[in-house]
Amino acid sequence: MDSSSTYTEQELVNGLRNRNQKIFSYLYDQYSSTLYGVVVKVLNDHASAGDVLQDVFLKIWKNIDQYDEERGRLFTWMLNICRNTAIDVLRSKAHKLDQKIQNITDDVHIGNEPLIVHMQVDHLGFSKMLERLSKDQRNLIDLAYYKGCTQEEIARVLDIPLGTVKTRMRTALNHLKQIVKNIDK
Amino acid sequence: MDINHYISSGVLESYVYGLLPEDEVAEVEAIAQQYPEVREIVEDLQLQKEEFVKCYAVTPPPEIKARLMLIIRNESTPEGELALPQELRLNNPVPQPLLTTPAVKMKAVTGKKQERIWKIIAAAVIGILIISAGINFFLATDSKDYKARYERLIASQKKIDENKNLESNQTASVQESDEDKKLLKDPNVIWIKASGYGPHPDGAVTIGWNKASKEVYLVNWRLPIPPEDKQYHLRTITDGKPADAGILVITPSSNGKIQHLKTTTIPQSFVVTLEPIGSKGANGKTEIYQVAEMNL
Repeated sequence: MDSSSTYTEQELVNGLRNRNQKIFSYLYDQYSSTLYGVVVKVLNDHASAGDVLQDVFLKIWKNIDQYDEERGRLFTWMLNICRNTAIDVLRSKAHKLDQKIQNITDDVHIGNEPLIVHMQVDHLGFSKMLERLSKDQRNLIDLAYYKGCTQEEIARVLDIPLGTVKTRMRTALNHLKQIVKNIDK
Repeated sequence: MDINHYISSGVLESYVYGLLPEDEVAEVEAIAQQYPEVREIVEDLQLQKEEFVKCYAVTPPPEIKARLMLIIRNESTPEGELALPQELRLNNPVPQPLLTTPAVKMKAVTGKKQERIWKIIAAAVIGILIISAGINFFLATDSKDYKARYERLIASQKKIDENKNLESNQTASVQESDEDKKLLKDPNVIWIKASGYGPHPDGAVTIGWNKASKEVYLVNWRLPIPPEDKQYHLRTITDGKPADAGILVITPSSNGKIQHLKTTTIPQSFVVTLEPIGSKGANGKTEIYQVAEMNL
């Protein structure tokens, strides 16, 4: 595969539907690091993350007929499969709620790991801006998005009322939205 | 519906970040279909979320891609099939551990037979021990060679231990799983996918034949569970003559596992039939489910 060739979204979808292995290989090259990043962040475990990433791409390959363009972009669909698969594994490993919290605390160090974390050049500025989110806000988003906690669980874990979780979550997501908007400019 | 109020309620953000329960997800999707402005905001938020997750991109180890490409290249073989996550395998709804594919022993009779074999071996070992002890006693009283006696005792103890290990290996599923995994890669084993027959149009099993040991294997993917008074048989046909290759174990837990059947010399075709128990293939009562041609 010529790495310089690019495909439109429709070509990617058609290629996968036609069982085109070159398209699959291209898709992997384009998206594996983002999806692997999600898996690593959910599981906080490099050892099992590889197997999970493999399952994620096999699901994409096998279930492409379930993808519905009407419901969103291909990458959105892939990202959903990835997050759900990783969170299922996290739950099946019977990680307790407190384990989830432990992971969040450990995650503080992940950002500082040399070499492994591969920041794309375009995102260097963005990640710096992410630091503008307060630690509480980041924890909230991490618990919800990466650990699959429901808002009720978060309320229990952080020992705050459900209403407060909802308000804080909204503020955090709004804040994130502003950050992303600014970086787009 | 006050759509502006809906948009500013924060529900769209929660939807995009996967925080909503399933029923609310369906509701948001229905509203997004109906209101283009909602859809546009959702798409915007999804793009933002993607930018957010890209911040945590990590390059995966290179062997994962190699493994994936190998699996999809071999996806129509039993090996490729077994490499898939459980839920992606051909109609195999029963959750099973992914990494273990213990062989299913044919029928309870075979199990009992094996049990008997081990009883005989155990009896033989005890016999050897008694004889050895007797000889030792004789030698000890005869020659007073304590050293030789001691060494012989150690040797027979070792033998018993070895036999014990052998027995535990036989019952350990991991050991069997490794052996079966080797079968999938064994160049002597020819694997073919069977086709459906008559009113059962779907291919449901994979059949293997070992050129070296002549043993026949079968992996069931989706044969329906037989009624209580019937059982599946695998029959081989060579030069127009059918021969029995064994009775299949079709239970939810046997799906996707290699079943070891009888040995047969150069089979030409395989037929999976459903027959009343004890019918010996009587015409009229046999229903053909699967056929496979072995092109040697």
